[in-house]
Amino acid sequence: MSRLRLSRRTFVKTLIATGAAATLPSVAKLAETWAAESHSPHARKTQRRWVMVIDLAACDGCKKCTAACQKEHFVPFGQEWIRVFETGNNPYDKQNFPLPCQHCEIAPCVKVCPVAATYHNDEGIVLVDHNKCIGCRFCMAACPYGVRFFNWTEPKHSPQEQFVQYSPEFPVPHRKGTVEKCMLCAHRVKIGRLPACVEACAAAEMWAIWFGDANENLVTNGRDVAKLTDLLAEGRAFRYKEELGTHPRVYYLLPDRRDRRPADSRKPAGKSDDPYRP
Amino acid sequence: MTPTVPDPHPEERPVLRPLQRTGWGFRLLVAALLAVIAAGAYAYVTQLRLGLGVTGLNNRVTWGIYITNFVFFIGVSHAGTLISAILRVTGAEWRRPITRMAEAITVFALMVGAPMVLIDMGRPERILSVFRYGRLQSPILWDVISITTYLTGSLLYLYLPLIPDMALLRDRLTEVPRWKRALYRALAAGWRGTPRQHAALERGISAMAIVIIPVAISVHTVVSWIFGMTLRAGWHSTIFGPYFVIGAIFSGIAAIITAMGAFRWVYGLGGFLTDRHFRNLGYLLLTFNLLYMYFTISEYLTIAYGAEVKDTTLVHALFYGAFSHVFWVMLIIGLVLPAVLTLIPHLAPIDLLRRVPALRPIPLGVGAAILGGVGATLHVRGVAYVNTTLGVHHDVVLVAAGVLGAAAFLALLPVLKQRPVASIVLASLLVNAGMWLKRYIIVVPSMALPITPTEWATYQPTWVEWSITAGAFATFILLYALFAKIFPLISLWEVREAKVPEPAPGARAQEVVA
Amino acid sequence: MKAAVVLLVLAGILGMITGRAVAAVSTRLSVTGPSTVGMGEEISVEARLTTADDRPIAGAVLTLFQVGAVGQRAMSTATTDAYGIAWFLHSEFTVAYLSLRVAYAGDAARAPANADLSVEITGIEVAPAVVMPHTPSLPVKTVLFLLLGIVWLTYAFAASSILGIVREGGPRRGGGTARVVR
Repeated sequence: MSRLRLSRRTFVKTLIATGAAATLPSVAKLAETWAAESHSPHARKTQRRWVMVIDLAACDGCKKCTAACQKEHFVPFGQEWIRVFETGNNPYDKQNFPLPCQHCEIAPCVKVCPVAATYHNDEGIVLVDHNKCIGCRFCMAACPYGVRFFNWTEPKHSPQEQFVQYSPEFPVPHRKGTVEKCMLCAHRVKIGRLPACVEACAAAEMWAIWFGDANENLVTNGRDVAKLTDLLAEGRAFRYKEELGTHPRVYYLLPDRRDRRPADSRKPAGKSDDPYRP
Repeated sequence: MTPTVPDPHPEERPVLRPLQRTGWGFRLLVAALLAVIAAGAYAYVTQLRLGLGVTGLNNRVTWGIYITNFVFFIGVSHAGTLISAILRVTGAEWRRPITRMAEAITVFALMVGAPMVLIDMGRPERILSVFRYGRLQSPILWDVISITTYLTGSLLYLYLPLIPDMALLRDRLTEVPRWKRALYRALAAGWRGTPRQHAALERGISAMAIVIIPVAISVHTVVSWIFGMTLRAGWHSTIFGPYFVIGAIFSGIAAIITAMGAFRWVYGLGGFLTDRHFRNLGYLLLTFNLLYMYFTISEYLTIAYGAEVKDTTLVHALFYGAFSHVFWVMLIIGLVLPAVLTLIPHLAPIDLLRRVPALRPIPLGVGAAILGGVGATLHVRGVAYVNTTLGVHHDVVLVAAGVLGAAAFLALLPVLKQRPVASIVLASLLVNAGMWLKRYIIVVPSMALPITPTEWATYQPTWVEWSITAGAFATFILLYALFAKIFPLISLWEVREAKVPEPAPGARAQEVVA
Repeated sequence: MKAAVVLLVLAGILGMITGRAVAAVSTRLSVTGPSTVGMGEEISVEARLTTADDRPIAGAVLTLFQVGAVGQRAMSTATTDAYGIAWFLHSEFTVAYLSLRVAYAGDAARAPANADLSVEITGIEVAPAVVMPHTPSLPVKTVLFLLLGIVWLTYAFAASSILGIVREGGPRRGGGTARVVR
């Protein structure tokens, strides 16, 4: 009795009929959106494509980039939007490794965001809209570079911060329960200034961070202007975790291509087992 | 008013008794559960007020035991599908008394599991954004869609076979409170048991039984894809979909056995939930246990053999490192012991254990007393004191505790062999605990693993997380207990059908009038 | 007359303050070049440096820059001939829309000058800033929603059987016809 006594023909017929009726309008709507998508704006003539190049040979690990970034964005306590790692097992092997958001072209964080709170702006910068972020932290789980941070509690607000008009390009004041990250100083780039970390690195006379537009093939470190492709070739550039296919827009110049600074000026790093030496 | 005619189904009284009378035990249970839930609610209010900073989560380990609970409960929810739908579709007759309990587990596990994600969110007030701005390429959207579909479907699938029983209660339980009678009358949907009603019911149940199986499989596959779609070591694995589905069915069977054991004991439903049911479900549990072992071995062997740095780092931490205690406890209590316990009637050498003198109660008791004393000293006076004064290293104490535990288990085996039902219920309890630990092992180590040139991250759940977790489990038990007070736990009409040879439509009409 | 003297004196003071600038002869720089070339083809830029009254300046060193958002990069230099003309040759392989600037730095006698030129290089693709597709394609969506639709329609089908049961049961109010299912 309780075995299947469903009249199969009626069932299938009803299913197909109602199915067709119910899905046709949605298919039509989908076709509409698809048509709209295929007419998406082509690359404009002056399409910007911002890139950053970090010269590991020039970086001495002073962390002034981090400090400048924190000052510029009122970065909440406990976050380092550009973090300088120390790698290597001994003083002779020590290497500084600044790590900002890699602004991936194929960004794992953008892929997984359920509400489009994290997105590429039209200059290729990965931004977070804190008015939309639901705080699920899926992007943090997805990011292979660990450069995303969460406001676990209400961040401390400085008085200056209160006068800032929030925009995803300058995400201040910071909000509890949302995800934060380096936004490549989109607010400064927009008005023709260099990112805070680049300026700070130049001010420290290290000139280790280059910034520019890949479509113009021009980058600057605050002192020199160089051809990006030449810089990358001469510096034997690599991208961090290139094999993941995320296509980062941050390049690193190999540290070992020039004479290293004398080892005696360095502290022992004390890191014993680093599985991911860049 | 009492029925004047003799009761034609006296064997159903144990099923109906809980619906008619409420004892002090039940009230105490509800009070205790409400207290736990209140503590959880207080913890959640604290979290809402101060932010997720009150948890042990940090920028490295961003998901912790909330997500562990989420995966665990979604897994448990697979009980209903497997037991009820698959057994119904394949026409397994012995399923009849247990379908209702299984379907109820599905509904309540989903009701408790799905909100765990909401609790984990930094901005729970923006939950509706998922519908407003939802992006189809986010696995979270897949989850929202499939869990909504699954919850709707399982509610429908729970309700449909309830209809004839609702009519039965409407007509039989005349002395219950007014609201209950109104509820039964409404839910019975005018059921009189006519052939056309039966046909309609069968049609609905059959359609649901078929469609709920792929939906259930999709749900846990999609849950696994939340992890599988990222690039993290230990998560980014192609077997994650089936691995999670098998794990879900495994823990679902364990949950249904636990529930059956509890209700058989509390309500005396032995007439319906016979040893045969426990034995059959025990074999199913064993099957999925072996399948899960197979998946576990193939998962870890593959990544350890390939030996990418990130994979070996993870495997090393699981096998020997910071997570090894959780990992091995999970393997032993979640997979190995349950396998022994479900196989117990077939393990002849177990009787020999009775003859081992060390496993008698007195030597075991003495051993436990000594160990307890040392352990208490360790706890009170500290490790250093025990090392120097007693000359015992605390690792030795831990090993001794393990050996003693194993000995106690071995001593228990001959006893359990005499009680196969008890051993299967014990196995199911162990599987539940083991599978929760397994979910923890899936979620946390992959996040704590260094993905940049740093050390391992640490994660220690706080009282807020534990309170909310306890509250979630209490809510699940409370929902189930309340369900057991309102609805019959056994699908009475289906059990009756199995006893009566299928009558002709005309005969059924007569039966109705009688 | 007196006013003229005062003006002259003021002009002299001004001249002393501003120094060379006033004394320097203003110059004019004009460039001509192709507006479109193919990738790797020679871009020949002709620059002519004259004084404001159109007399050619010979022997002046001009520099060709590429101008970008973050600054300008010197690419080559050339010296003007007797007609004030200098030629630059450049081949471009990477930049699709090249902004060029020819600049004359000036010296003690002549003021600096510069002139801009844009060249479109065909055959070089401008890489888009946003490469990631933001939605699944239509066929994927359609298949997904069809599958989902089938599931929900089956639900509707199952739910309709409840309606069948209700219709068959008819209205039942009060306890008049109680105890029909035992």
